[in-house]
Amino acid sequence: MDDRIEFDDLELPLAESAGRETPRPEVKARLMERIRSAAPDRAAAAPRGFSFTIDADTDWQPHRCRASG
Amino acid sequence: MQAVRDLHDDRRLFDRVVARDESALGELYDRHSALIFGLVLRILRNRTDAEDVLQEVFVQVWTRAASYDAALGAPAAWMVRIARNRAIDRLRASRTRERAVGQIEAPMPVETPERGAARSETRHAVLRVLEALPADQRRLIEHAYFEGRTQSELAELFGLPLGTVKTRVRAGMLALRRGLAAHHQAVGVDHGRPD
Repeated sequence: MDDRIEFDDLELPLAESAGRETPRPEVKARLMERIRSAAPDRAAAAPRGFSFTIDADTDWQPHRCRASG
Repeated sequence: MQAVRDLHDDRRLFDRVVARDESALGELYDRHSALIFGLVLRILRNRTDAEDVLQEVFVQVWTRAASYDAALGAPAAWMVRIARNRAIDRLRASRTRERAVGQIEAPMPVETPERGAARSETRHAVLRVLEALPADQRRLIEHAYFEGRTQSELAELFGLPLGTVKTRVRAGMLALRRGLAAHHQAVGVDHGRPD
């Protein structure tokens, strides 16, 4: 039975009660590297000599429904 | 009011994270990593695992900041909730592994108000309020919070009827809220409830 206790507004004060600890500096360096590698900038994503623009999609048409069976 | 300034600064940093500003994530990390790492370390009792979870928390902040709802509390509380859930998931997974190989769980480290000289005023206050709770209430709340025990699990762990666990947990949380409110009133702190 999942009858977990919700701490709501006590979440933060109880976290404080654990005491603060400083992580090693490498952890932040790894984190920043990870988010940079996960989201390459758009300029780097385009092949050299190309540029892309997103066109307007105002003439977008809905698909027709097909009867199933 | 420092607490209100902190809350507004965090919200501004969240807005910048949503706008994909990496430096804002770095600032959030600098402001909250010690709090989150301390919590996760207390839960997992292993620095390597705690560092992994810390990193996962901030990756989640980076990818999910847009889903943060200010009506549900401060950004710091949102991050703490993510951290605690992730750490407890990992703790439960490791408990399952330990059970599978027949290892005995290490006891929870005893936390006393005397431990650590450079403790924040907030931490002092929370510890004082916790210390003032009846021992049976405090023990249940600590096991629920730091180990993610459900009320049924607490009843089984301590050999208590489920109704007793529910009553003690409710009374303990009420006393905690009252104690913290009295502290905030005494020091004149507006602790940043949502607008």
